[in-house]
Amino acid sequence: MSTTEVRALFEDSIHRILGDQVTPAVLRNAEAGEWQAQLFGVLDQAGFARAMASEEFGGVGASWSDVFPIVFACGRHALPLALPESLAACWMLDNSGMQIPDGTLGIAQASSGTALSRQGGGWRLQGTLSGTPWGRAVDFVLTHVRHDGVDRLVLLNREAAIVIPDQNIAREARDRLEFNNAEVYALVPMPDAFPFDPIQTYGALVRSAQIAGAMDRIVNLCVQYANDRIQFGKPIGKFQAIQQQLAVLAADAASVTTAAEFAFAMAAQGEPAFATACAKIRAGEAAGKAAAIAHAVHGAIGFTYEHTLHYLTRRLWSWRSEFGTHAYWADKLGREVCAAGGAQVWPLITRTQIKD
Amino acid sequence: MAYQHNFPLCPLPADAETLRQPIREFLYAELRGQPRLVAAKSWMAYDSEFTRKLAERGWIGMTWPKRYGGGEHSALARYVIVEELLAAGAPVLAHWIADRQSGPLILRFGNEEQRQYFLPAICRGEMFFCIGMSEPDSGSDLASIRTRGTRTAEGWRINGAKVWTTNAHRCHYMIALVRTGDGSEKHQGLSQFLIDLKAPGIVIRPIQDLTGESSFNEVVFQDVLVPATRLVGEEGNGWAQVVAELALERSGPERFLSCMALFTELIDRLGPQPDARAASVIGSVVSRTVVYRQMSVSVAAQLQRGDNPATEAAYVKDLGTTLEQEIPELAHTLIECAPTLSGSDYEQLLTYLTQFAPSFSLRGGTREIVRGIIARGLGVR
Repeated sequence: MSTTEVRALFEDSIHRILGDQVTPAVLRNAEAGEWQAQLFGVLDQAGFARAMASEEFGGVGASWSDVFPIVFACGRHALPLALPESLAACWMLDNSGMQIPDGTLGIAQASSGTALSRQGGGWRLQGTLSGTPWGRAVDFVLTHVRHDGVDRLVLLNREAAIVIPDQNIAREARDRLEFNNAEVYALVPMPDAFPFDPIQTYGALVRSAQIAGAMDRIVNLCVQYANDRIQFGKPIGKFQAIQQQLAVLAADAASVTTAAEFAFAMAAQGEPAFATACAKIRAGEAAGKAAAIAHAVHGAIGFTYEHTLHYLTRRLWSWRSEFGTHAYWADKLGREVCAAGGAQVWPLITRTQIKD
Repeated sequence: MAYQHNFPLCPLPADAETLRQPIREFLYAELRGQPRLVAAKSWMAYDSEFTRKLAERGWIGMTWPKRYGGGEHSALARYVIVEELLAAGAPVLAHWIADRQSGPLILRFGNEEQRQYFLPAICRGEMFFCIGMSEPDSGSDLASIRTRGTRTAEGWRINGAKVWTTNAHRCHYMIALVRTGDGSEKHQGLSQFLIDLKAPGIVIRPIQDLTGESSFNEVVFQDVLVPATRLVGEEGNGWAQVVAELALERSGPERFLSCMALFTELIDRLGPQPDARAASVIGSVVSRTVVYRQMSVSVAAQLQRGDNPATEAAYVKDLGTTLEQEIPELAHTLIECAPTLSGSDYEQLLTYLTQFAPSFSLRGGTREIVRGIIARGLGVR
């Protein structure tokens, strides 16, 4: 199948499945900290969790462009599972020549001070992965550790960790995993072609698409509410004050979708760093504004737990900070731009281009 | 699933990218020593000599058929040339309107005689156009225009006035939106005319803008006779034609690159090791420029396919002009200086663009009108 066909197939089926399966009950139970194993099983069976793995490891070798609709849909439906993380883990494992074990996969940044040591024929890890998405539930976690001047991708068995549970603003599990001289499941030196900080980069990449998806859905909810809600004898959408806010929201949502889709396309051609920074900056800047407008338009009803809006807005507030806030990425990008000088900024912008 | 909006990613094809190096070399040679203030004005800066040099290289009317003097390039090839001109701050005003919208309008709605008469002259860089839409009493409410065309034996008699007409005093022709009939709706009964600005009865008066210069004009028509052959398209179809024209006008790189000269100068003023606050401002502006450029390219590709992305163009304009307007404001927060008129390059750019920035969200349709178009596209009833 061509890449366009793969993508179209994903796009069609992921929305159907998530539309049916991510029910209010699933969202509520997930907020209590429960991994929705049955739903994850359905998605795994349908081929989504490992889509980026090669066939040998149960995937179809999908590209970043192919999986954009999957990750976008995860955001749009507020999926409370580490599915985007699984895709990113599979891609990094596969593209660094590592075996992909059976089981669920996650990614997390290692805290500073995390260290590797050689013991006997194997490696041990001493340190912490903080804010691990669904760390309590995944079987393996992929991280990045620098040791003796060498960057390595390190795959850890979660059972080797002490799990200290925590949750983000959306009450998605973000757990602290402590490894006390624990056995490393597998590791490889960082491939040359990988970005400087791959967990942060691919993590930011998937979060930008999730934010795009959530904002897209929020636009739907706001338009529908503005047309349905009657005040002063007419739908509130008739008021220019509301229309202007909806326009700002929709324009930002469109720009975040473009930013994320562009970053996925750049990642697919092996140049993720610059476009991902742009995407996470745009998504992070827009997320807070979008949540504010959505709540303004919905009024008090949107502030209730019963209404579905908060499942999306609380995710925006969470995801914008994960794998680097927009301030983090803007600072990093801005330093690169300033170091190169004013004359180089336009060439840099035009060089970042998807290939024909 | 339906996205709320329609900006499919579009790569710039190889035939477009191959033009980037030649145009950069040309601009490097032509613009050396150009005052930074000219770069700040860019598509508000008039230089007919520069326009003729561009024409010699085939970079005006690039997409039009060869039989009318064009180059039969794709819209994306034109996009590369145009974005390079703007990023370099080239003085492109002389041909800007003709190349962007008057020529395409004539090509689409004009008759064969009009195409043969106007398009080759535009491509040679010898015929300049201005836009006759706004009037003293009709700005955002464009359909309320009162400039009237009445039939005569040989054509039409035009009476009325247009305002905010950029560059009218140096243009050869105006494409004017004129009321020629009374429909039941005010959008009906409008027609577009190609008006020779040397015709008797036309008075062009400069209007001084707040910078003290006269970038725009008032154009008054008193019993101006226009031959029947200078009606563009169909009588009464003016509104539909204008809407198509606005999609061309609202989505180009001129909607987010107006402060590029200041931005590059700001980067140099900050130096290679900016503090965290400055770095994150620079990163944010670069991020938005990259993203809005992708959206703008997507609209160019949609226009190329013959779609009517009027709503998408409104998205680009709202996002892009908001960014452009922020840049001088951000600069003021990052560099401690009270700019003066004869200060450094940076100060001159800042002085000019601080004053000029309010126009970014006025020209080509105000922010509020553009947002209304976006809201309507969302289906707010």
